[in-house]
Amino acid sequence: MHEAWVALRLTLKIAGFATLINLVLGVGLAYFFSRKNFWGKEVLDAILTLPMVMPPTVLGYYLLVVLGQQGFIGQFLKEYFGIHLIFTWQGAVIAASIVSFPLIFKGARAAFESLEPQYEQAAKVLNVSNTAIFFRVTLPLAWRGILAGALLSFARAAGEFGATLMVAGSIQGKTQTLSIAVYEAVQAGQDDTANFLVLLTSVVCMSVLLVSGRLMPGRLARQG
Amino acid sequence: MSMLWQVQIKKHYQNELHPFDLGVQIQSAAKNLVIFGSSGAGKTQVLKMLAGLVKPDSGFIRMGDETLFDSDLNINKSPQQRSLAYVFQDYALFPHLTVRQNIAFSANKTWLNKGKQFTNEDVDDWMVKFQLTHLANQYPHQLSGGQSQRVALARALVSKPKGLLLDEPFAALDQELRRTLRQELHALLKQLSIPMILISHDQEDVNLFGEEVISIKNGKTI
Repeated sequence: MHEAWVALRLTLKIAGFATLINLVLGVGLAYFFSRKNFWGKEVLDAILTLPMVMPPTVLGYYLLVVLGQQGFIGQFLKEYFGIHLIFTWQGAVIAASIVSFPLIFKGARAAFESLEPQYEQAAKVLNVSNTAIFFRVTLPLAWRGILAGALLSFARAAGEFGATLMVAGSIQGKTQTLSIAVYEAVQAGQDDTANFLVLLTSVVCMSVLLVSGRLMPGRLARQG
Repeated sequence: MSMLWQVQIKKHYQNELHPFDLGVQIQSAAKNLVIFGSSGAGKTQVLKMLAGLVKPDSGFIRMGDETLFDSDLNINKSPQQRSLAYVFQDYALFPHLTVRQNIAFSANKTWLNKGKQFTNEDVDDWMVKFQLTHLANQYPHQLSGGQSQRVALARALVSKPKGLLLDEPFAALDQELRRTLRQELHALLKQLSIPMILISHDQEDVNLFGEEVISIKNGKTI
């Protein structure tokens, strides 16, 4: 059963990094989208939301084309930095980030757009800089929506299968996450391993849900 | 006498059912000015334009010698640069911060909110003056209408504004309280040396506060 714990650790590591990346990019872009109007905004929004509806294998294929040895980013990374992303856990992080990105982006954008504009206006006339207003007013008031999006995004990243398999493969101890390990165990007819992995995954998912319930601050919950 | 406010602003609001044209002119030397008009006349929009929260299509806004906005000269100072305190109709107290954190908001120039104990001399002074000290650790949703109004005013005054803009300060209160608070606010404002503009649809406000009154109807000064 040692492999199961290795797979769990890897899964949490990949989902954790993917969520961190999405928190920065997703929240940043969501704020930009909620405050600025520009040409092609809704088309760009649709493109950013695409990973939510596209089959993960198709996304994985796109990533292979772009990040692979022949891909323009893959070539660039290899030539200038000596980095290979295909068949590494870092590659799996990128796949998981892209697949789970829309959940945090959509959640954060809705949270920012539902804020009453007068709180930010009140802060502006109090002679506080726009950056400070973002961290002291906007973010604390939109926090619940962003947190909900982040947890969904984490859960989605942890359960990622298709794109991860395409990009990172299934190398035990290196890129084999829980969901991939379940598939491999079933394919190999190892029912015991499969049972244990499935149970472990269910416990992890349940824990995420319970933690998310506890993280919601009671005081803010009452205001909502 | 030199003019305190020189304002000439225009803005067109595109709305398929009710397109609205705002065109307002103000020339006033009064320290206490009331802009009077029924609801929907465009008063709040005018006040937001003065504060820099809404940008007029064209015209100019001058306060004393300072040009805050001028479409010909391409000047449009940010709300921060104008430093005109604006008290919102429903006060817009930050719901995630305590009374003291709200009042001390502008005293903290960093990117993160300070703890509940953060204060300075000004903050303490205004809290004493407005009888808010015992409410320091309460949250806005625990306050009455009158208390909220005093917090909003104290928060505005701590930022040491060059002027005070009040948007229907009594509209959110019931009749009885309105009368008491009107007197209270009048007494408080008399101690201040900064100019004030108050907008209202209530004749009583005009009688008490207005050194000078400007009436607005359907977006136009009359």
